[in-house]
Amino acid sequence: MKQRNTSFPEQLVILAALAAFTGFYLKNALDLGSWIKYGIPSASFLPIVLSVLMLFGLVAEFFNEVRRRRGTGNHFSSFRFSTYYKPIGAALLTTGYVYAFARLGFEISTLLYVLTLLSLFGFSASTENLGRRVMLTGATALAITMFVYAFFVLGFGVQLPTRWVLF
Amino acid sequence: MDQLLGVIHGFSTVLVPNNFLFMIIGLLTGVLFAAVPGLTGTLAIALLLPITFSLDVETSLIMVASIFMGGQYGGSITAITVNIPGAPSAVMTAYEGNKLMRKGKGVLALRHAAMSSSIGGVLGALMLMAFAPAVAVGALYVQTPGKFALILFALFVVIASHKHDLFKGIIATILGLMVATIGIDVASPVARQTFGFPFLIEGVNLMAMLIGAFAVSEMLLQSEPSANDPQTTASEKQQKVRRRDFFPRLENFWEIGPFNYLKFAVLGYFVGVLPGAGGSSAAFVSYAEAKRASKKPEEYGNGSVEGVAAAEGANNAMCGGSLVPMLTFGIPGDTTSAVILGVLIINGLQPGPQMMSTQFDLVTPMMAALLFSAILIPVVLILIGPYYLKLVSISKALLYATIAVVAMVGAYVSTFSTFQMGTALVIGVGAYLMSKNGYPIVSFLLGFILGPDLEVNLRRSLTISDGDPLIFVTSPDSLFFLLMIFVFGYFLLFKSSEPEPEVDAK
Repeated sequence: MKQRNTSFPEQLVILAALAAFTGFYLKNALDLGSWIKYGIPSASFLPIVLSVLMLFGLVAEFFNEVRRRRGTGNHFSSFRFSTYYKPIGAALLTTGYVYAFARLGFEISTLLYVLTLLSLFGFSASTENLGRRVMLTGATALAITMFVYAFFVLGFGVQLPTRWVLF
Repeated sequence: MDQLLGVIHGFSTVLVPNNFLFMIIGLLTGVLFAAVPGLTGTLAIALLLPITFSLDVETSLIMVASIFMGGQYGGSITAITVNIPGAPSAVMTAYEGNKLMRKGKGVLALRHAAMSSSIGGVLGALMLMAFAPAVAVGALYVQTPGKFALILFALFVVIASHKHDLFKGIIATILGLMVATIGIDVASPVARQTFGFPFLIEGVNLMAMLIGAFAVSEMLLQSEPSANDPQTTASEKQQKVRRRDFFPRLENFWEIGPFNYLKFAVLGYFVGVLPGAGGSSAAFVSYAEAKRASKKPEEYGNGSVEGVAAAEGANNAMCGGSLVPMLTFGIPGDTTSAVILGVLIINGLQPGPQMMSTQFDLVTPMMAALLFSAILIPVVLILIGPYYLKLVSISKALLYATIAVVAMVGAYVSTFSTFQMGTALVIGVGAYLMSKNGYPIVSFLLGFILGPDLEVNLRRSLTISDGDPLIFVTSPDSLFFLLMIFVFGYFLLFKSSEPEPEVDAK
């Protein structure tokens, strides 16, 4: 995969998030008690070792990133929200889908999810007539929902949380 | 004799109509997924994981093997036609093949890619059948400390293969190992690293991990405003072609020559055996060797059919090679074989020397499916070749909305729990952020998959030695693999000066 030239704060956010996770992970490991019991490693042994290695790795990567930026003369640009608003939207929609899946059933939740996801991805954005665009997006969302239902339920006999029977 | 009977059983199993049908479905799925920019054969396997529950183990393995082979080949299609490598392993194919396309020789390049993929794939599968059982016999002599050192060696090679960002490789691997420790301890009935969530006692589900790391992260990546829309990249370069143009020709075979085909396949196979090397390395090494030994070196860089054949022959032969460490040691050679390892584990199989000696009959159909799929590649080209260019112009919105739903419902189906859907989402977001910032997902995934075995063998070894870590240097097999780490470290990190090819694909 091509390495993208991401901004420094973005890298910093990732490193900080990993450091926070590692700290939380290490605390959980230490809560398990001694890492060596009766002379042999216990359940907390590997988590503690991994936490320490991870912290070393994060510090090394931090200095590596600083050195690389200085070496190439790149400025530390700010976090670009414009890159992330659609992925954030897609992640939020997926969170809503996970929440609604068992509560509303497969049909309603999937139809709404696909409908909103298609809109987010700009499906039929080139269609000038708004009514036609809405109709096209709605029909496509319905078709995808029916396809996924047919794929899992009819094709492979999987049971999904349904409120109505589509076929 | 047993080995031969096992292989014959494998062929007869694939030829059962139901299995053959799933092989064809798998092959077409692999080709289609790899041919669409943004999708991969690995993603196809990850998405189809849930349905393997409703299939026989042999049928599941036949299908995933054919997806693997189809996925390696399919990447060449968009590489040649629109200069977008459908898979990272098709970068060199794009470099030479698209230049041929611009000269009006696109069909010639596609024919060479299909023929070379087919020959490479067949030879790779034959080498897998011939050598894997012998490697498995040798693997039986590797004891507990040796297994730990071997897994450490595999993780090291995967990390070192990303030498341009070594620390990111280390961080991704350790993160995978950390996630693998969540749940019940591997050696005692202790729940650990659950962060106060009772659901996490059962650990992170492998299927949720695979779906999150491949499908959800790809959906998020493609939702970015800057992501390429295949609709706009493909539109200008469509050419009118006839179906008969895609028929393989003997003159094309002799243009490359049997010795070269064999050389590309052998190189691809042995690069594939190395953990973490994968199709990209196989294609690049083979391409470099073909260029070095070529009688027409001036064609390289300007559209060389030999270059296309070298890259495609090697990356399809890699399929057989990458399954050797996966089947004999349970150590996957690349991302796709890591997902195939997931299919085996989900179906209750534990790859390793024992499986190769006692359940060889279960894996021979998979090997045979690799071979049959490779043979059928030119037929696939004839059947759907004319539609390839239309394929790449599928609406991105339609594609990724469908993938998102199939992925999330697939995660639900794994345990019939919405918690796993949430897990897949969290892993998907994490994998998206990691891949955007240059952290190799393959290292993260291998850390997660190999983590439990690493810990079990580490703790067992220390229990055997009463906590004395010297057991890892006094045990000959362990010492051998530890020395291998130093040898590979020297060559991979300090000695090699080869520039890494830039991959502009998913």
